[in-house]
Amino acid sequence: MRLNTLRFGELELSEKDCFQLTEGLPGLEGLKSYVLLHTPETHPLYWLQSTEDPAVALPVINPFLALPEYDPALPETAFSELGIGSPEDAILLAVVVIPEDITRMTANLLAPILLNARGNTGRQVILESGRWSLRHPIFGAVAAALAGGDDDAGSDT
Amino acid sequence: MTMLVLTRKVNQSILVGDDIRITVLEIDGDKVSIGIDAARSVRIMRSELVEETRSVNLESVSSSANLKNFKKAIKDKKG
Repeated sequence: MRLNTLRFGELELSEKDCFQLTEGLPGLEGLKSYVLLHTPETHPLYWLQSTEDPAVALPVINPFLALPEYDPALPETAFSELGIGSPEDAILLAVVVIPEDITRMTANLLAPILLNARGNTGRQVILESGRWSLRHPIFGAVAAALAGGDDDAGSDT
Repeated sequence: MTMLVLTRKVNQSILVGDDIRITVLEIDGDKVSIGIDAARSVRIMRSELVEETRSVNLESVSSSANLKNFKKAIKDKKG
């Protein structure tokens, strides 16, 4: 299928690249289908692009890159609802906000998005723990990841 | 939507449907401790966290990342 996007232009995708978020995301309840995109230009961020609205794409990050000691203790029901049978099938993402001042970039560690890589389902899980911030600063971690050569383009160290 | 208002004392409960029991456990000034007995599949969330997550998601969608300049902007700011 051909997908038109505002940020990434036209993409050729297969139906099996799409994740069905049947409840939508809070604030975006009407949109139920997303693809996970990566572009070297914004590494180490990824993008959850809506397949239904070309203008809707959320930058996301591996929460363990944002905060190495992150330990979300996801409820068992989150895995069972999405049909995740094995931990290897789980993809965890934190929603990123990039304001005008890029140094104030944050990630939502309180409400990670859990995807089932095998079943192509997903949802945003709001954690019970008060330990995690909705606006955890990540500029340092992103800059370090770039400087450390943690780059899909290969090693430059 | 109309809200049903009930008055409860400490240790009194409210049943919601057949499977959910909400009990007032403790009152301390303007803080109320509430116990909820429900099946694990029932999702219980603090409403303000859902509201804040909604705000963050919408801010995320309007992120001002310039794709071409993202890495350079980070390296420049890092100095």
